[in-house]
Amino acid sequence: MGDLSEKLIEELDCKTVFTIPLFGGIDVAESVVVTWIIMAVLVILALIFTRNLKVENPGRRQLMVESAVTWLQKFVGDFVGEEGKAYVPYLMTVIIYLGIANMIGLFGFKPPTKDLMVTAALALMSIVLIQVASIRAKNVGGWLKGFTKPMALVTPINILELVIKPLSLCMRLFGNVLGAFVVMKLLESVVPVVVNLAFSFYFDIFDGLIQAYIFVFLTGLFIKEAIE
Amino acid sequence: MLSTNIWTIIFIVINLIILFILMKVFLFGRVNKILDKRAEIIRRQFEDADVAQREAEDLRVEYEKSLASAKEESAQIVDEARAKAKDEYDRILDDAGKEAEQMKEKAMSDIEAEREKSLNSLKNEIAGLVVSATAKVVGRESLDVDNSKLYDDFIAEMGEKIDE
Repeated sequence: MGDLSEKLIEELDCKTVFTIPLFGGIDVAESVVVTWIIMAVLVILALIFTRNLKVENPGRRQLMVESAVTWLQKFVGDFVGEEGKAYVPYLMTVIIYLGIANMIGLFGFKPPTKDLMVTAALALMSIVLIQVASIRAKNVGGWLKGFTKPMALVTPINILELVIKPLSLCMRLFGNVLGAFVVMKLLESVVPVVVNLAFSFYFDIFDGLIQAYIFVFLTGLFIKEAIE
Repeated sequence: MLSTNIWTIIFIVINLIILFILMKVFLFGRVNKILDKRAEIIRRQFEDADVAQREAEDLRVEYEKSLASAKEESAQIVDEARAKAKDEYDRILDDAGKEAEQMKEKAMSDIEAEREKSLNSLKNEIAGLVVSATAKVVGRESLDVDNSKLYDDFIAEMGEKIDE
């Protein structure tokens, strides 16, 4: 049993893979390396799939990519509405990244989203994006005035939301992925692989995709709110 | 378990921005460019079809108009021809009537002349007969022209009396 908990703790640890000897040592965490791998795979896949696209007589490969991108664009575009079209590519990038990051446990990697700092970074970008969207849509004056809506009394709460929104995004994603990861690791050490597979479908695939969806859906929703 | 590696945040932010740019350029950008091009082509095709249809409609209207005018024209031509034919007919009929009248008149005058001639010759013959009869009565074979004239006058007188 002690063996198991030791193993578990080691699995849960966010290891530093290497340190760049700059500014007193930049620690590159495992999650960052995995993110690089995901990025590399995504870019290579994108390059392969979008090689010589044709306007007429598209092949099966191109049709697949086209329908996938169109579907995702519509899917994410519905979150932010017509006015938030400019933010759709970013949200699509995040949902693809998160979807893969959450499921990468299937391939033996540690999900980057298991690292609180990764989800914190994502949440940070989301809240910045939301504020930027608001400023772009309503100018600085309108953006500031937005804090007093629907009435002046709620201004402190609105300001608190600047912290609460990203914090909830960050923690929800982190907690879910971490929980799924812990459960899977526990299962792996006590039950045979076949049983694992069934749970893996839920914890790695379903939960991973759901969390990616929720994260992007909420970010989109906040953007939509911000630009209205 | 809970790492507090601030560098991770910075790395992930940079990573995401880079990934976003790469995805936008290589995936969404490329695919959307193709989709837009295709939409453009389809739009243009629809436009072309519209233009062609409008042209066809214009042609049809023009054709119908020209057909209608041709019909009108032909009707006019037929009318004109009919009027002309009627004129001609009237003229010919008129001419024929006139000619017939002339012929009739000529015939009448011929007949009159013939009658005159035959009457004159009859008178002469009668005069001759009267002269020869008179000569027989008188017993003389030859008579003077004066006498002949005398009888002519007599016959004329008689003739007038007969006419009356």
